[in-house]
Amino acid sequence: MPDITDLLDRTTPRDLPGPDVGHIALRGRQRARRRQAARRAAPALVVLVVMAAAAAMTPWGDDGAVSTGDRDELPSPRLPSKTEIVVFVDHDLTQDRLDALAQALADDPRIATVDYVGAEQAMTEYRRVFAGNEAMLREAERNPDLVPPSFRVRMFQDRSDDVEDLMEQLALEPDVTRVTSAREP
Amino acid sequence: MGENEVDPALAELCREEHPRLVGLLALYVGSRPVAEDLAQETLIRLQLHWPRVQAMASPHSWLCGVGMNLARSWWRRRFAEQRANGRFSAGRATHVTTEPADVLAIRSAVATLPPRQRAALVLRYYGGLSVAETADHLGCATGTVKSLTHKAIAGLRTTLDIDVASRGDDPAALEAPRA
Repeated sequence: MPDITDLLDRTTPRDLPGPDVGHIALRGRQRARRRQAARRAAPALVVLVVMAAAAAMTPWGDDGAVSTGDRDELPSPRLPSKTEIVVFVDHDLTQDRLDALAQALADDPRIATVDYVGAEQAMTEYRRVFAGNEAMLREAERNPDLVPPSFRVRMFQDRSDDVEDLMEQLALEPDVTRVTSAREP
Repeated sequence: MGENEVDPALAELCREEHPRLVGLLALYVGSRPVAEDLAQETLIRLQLHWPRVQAMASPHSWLCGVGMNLARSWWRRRFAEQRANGRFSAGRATHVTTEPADVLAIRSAVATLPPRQRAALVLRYYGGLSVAETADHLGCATGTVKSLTHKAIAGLRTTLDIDVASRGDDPAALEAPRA
């Protein structure tokens, strides 16, 4: 009478080639690298996306924000789109280069409004968005450069293709570190 | 150790565990080609978690658990695919096998068991895990494991129409199924 363990043991494959350990190790290393990169990028990305979403719902251009362009005076009846593109730049970008980028944005015929949000104001906004979240507030204390300065841009057109085209183009600008977008509810 | 070198202990464990992992998963999913894919994925997970697994009392138990989790995910995907495909075609994929008839008969009999009975049976009597380890992987009490394996063996007896010696009839003997 066969024992259940012996019976099941008969099904063990006898003709299996050994595992390709080198290939398994390579796949493991590749996946580990991808995970590491994703882990490193995740906190910064979350902050930027949350900030962009908050920005889209915030009327900018008050104290601290330098409005570099507002085309209310244009004859066009078109209103700025509900999608806000956030163009992040380095903390240490010189004033000349900031001005040049602001001018380039303001001169773009697709863009309706451009507002600059400096690092200090961005941090104020960060504290407002994450009020009550001790871990995020501690992170801000630990890293004052957590939220970079940015230009908040609204286009005349709100079609997703137009927004994507502009975002791709802005991402190629040498002084731009990241471009993201958020849409008003 | 260089970038492209593999820890010899990891390589040894992969070689040692691979055939039994394929066997265990083939019994659970009923398909050897699928089992081979799942076993490879399990070993990739082993490579990812090697420093932690290396320190464990039983890397074998960890591998069985990961393999079974991947197999369960595969089942879920398969059911979803079947539901979707069922709208268009009742056809089934087939593959040619050269395995002996008795192996196919045993695998087929195990495949007819309800999923939890099947999982308990293969972890316990093929994987050689203890009742406690099996209970841990299945997320149930040890008494449930004994009951599941008892029913599974009874089911195999009926399906295979042979009298299988079962230490499962004696709950005390279930503690040590594999030497």
